[in-house]
Amino acid sequence: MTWILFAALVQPQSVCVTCHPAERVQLEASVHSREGIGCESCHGGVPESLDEERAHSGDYRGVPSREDIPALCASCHADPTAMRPYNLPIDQFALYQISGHGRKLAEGDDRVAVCTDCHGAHEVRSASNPESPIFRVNVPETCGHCHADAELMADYRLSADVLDEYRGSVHGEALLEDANPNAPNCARCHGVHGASPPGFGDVAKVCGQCHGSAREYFERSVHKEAMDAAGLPECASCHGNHAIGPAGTELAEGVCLECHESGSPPAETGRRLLALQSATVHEIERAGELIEEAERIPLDVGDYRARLELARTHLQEAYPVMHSLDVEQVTPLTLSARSGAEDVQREIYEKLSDIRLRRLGLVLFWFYILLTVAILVRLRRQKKET
Amino acid sequence: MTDPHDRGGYSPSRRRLLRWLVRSFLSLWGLAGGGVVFSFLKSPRVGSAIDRIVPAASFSGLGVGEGRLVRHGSRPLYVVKVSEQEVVALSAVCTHRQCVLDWSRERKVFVCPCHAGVFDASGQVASGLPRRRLEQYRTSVRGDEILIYLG
Amino acid sequence: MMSDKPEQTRGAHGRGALLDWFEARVNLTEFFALLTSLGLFYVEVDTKKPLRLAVREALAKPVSSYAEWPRVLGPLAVLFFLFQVVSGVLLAFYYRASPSEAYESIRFILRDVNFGWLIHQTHRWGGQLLVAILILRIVRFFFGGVYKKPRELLWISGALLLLLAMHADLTGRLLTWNQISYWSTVRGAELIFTLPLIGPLLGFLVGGQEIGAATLSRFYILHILILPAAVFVLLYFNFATVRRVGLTEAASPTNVGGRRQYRDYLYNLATLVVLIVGVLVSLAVIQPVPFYPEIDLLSTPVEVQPPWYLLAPHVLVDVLLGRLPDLLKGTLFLASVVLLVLWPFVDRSPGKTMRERATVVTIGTLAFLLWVVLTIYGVALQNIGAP
Repeated sequence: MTWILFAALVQPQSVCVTCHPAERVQLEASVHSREGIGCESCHGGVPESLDEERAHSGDYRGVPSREDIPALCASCHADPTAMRPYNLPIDQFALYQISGHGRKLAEGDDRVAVCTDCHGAHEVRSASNPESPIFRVNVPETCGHCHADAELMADYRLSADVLDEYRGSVHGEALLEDANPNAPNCARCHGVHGASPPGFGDVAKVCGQCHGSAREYFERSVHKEAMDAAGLPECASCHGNHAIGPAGTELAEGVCLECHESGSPPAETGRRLLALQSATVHEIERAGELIEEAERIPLDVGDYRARLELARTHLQEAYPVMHSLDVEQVTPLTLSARSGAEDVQREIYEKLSDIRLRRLGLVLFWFYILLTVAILVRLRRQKKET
Repeated sequence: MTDPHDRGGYSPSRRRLLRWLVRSFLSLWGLAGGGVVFSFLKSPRVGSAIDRIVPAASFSGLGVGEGRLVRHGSRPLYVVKVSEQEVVALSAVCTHRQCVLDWSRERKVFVCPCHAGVFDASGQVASGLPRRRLEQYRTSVRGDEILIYLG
Repeated sequence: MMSDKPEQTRGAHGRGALLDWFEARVNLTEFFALLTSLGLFYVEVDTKKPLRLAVREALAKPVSSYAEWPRVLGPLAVLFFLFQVVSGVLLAFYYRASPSEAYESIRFILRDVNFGWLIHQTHRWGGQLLVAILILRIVRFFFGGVYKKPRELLWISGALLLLLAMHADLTGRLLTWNQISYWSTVRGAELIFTLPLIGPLLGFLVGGQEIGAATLSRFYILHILILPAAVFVLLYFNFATVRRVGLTEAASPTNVGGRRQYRDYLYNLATLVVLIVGVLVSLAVIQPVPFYPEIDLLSTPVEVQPPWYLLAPHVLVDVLLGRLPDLLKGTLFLASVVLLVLWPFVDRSPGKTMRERATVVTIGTLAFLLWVVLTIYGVALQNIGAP
């Protein structure tokens, strides 16, 4: 008896965990247990009793059914007064109900994700805890539990390749390999609780959260209206949605022809933009190679690197502007990038040829020196014979 | 006393020639040394390259076929946008009697108001009294700015 | 002999009238004697005779054994020094001795000034070669016994010349104000500051023991005015004592070579000049000193060592004897320098040949070998990145 009292004083929920030790381990990490949310908050029952029958009496629910879980969590998490001390949002349930998951659940499909699938049931951790399944780096894998399951996704006619595609994309690499905290994960584009694919006319808004400049130029271009009218997913129609690769010349090479006929005016514009881009990239790369070569000699390459960086910056500036599809707008930027790189190249070439010239001059100079010495020696011998 | 320069059979004129050759050869050292020192001391484009680079006009502000007169010190220059990607920079001084040229956008030529000499957009003499072509300068575009390199 | 005036005859003019005009108003021979103080003529010049006569006499004076190659080190050192003066003056036209402008002015010289790279590189290499030549010269003096009475002053001026040349190189290095030169100067200066008495005195001279902006301007003055002036004075002493005591005859009696005239010696000098220019230009083209990155007072590059001629003392003092107290190390260092300079008063034995001075020669050889080994060790340390 005293033991029970003692236990009750120290750890109110430990009574349940006497029979359910596995959950006890999980609960230790949970933010709920720290806040004194006991087992009975979700499961009901009498938490102080060791007797199974009595413990499982009263408003005991047992394991809540999946359809009930969102409402159950919302009983606290949608309550403004309850959440206020923690400053947690209260719109999760409302968002969930308009999400793809929520709608399916309302239709009776309980295979979709509910709160516990992503947040965990007993071991609920804060989103800023790297061990949490909803920590930003872990999100793709969490979503992938279902969305990378080919069998499961087949029933919904959804692709199960999205996780792999994401992992190979620039966003995935940035998040997962470079640990870049600004890189988007699934939730960033699809929404967290209100997760659903963006509508076709909304794609630019989603991408524009980060790529604001590109969005601006895109929306002013002819593509915006044309793509919305044709039901094309704006940015994703050229860049892809999950398997987004680097936006370089490889992208620009074939993508216009997917919609436009080769030789048509739009395709011509695309070709010219590509030409600007690839010429600039080529010059910049060449300049970079020359700098490496020059450094090996060694030559002083101090400000060349800085100038090449400047050229690269101008090129970077040009990329969003390309979405305007206006060659006149893009040209000044690519031209300045290109001429910067070309200037660097030219100066290095001058230096290299300078050095070669000096070496040649040295050889000739030594001929001259030896001839002079010969003359001097001869003159000395002549004088000697006086 | 034997003539120290009597090396078995050289005629006096030959000897003088040889002596002259040797002396000029050796004095090349002096000339070379003097040349190096003089060239060294002759201030090269003093200061940084900045002084030799002239910001001329805004690239986007210049229409295709438009030419603008730019002054650098006492030197007038013309910068002309010949196509949407290319600019040329030429001296604006007529090579005949040094009058300052006018650029005609319609005819795409430079016309001299003094004796009606005509230069085309690349600086070659098209017609009239001038003999030499206009001096051309290298350009590059930084950002929106056209820069002329005076070398 | 009268008909051909050698091109090298100083002061030879076609028009005697001009010369006479000057002779009547000023003692040109005195001026000539002044010029020869630097060793172009180490024979004495009679300033009472008119210039043409004095020069002709000087040229005709017989010289023996001057052509032996060991003796070339002296004139070679003078020629290098003159070259340094000329190239240094040229560089001074463009160099700016303030911390904010020094680095850029060097870059300007190397990149933009016509032949700037040539003058700069030959000046740098010339300095290194000058120090090397003076080292070899001292070594030659040692083994040749060229410090015995009455040639003590010759040795002393030679040793002091060596020290001055090292300091000139040290001060000159800092002027480039780049990462490597700055930190290697700091290393070298640290070493010198350990010397008791002299160390603090030198520290005072350069404006405190920390090498900073003030040091730059003081080093500049030292490098272009004070040290060259001191070198000139020592060169004067060097050749003045030679004029007084004469050149040493070769110890062996095999020197019966023809007594040549002094003018022939001048041909040799001309050849030397030509070859020196050739060597310096070759070094400037083939192995130019790299243009290091700009100075960063907050970061020391790992591989930096003091200049090569200070590597031996550095290794000895900082690495091998590192744990001894500074005062002891400094005194040891100072003692060895003083020993070097005042060596003639240490070894006063009359023996001339190597055999007669066997013990001294052995000790000297060992000391020199030790110096070489320490220097090589220092270079090796640098290559493996150790302090």
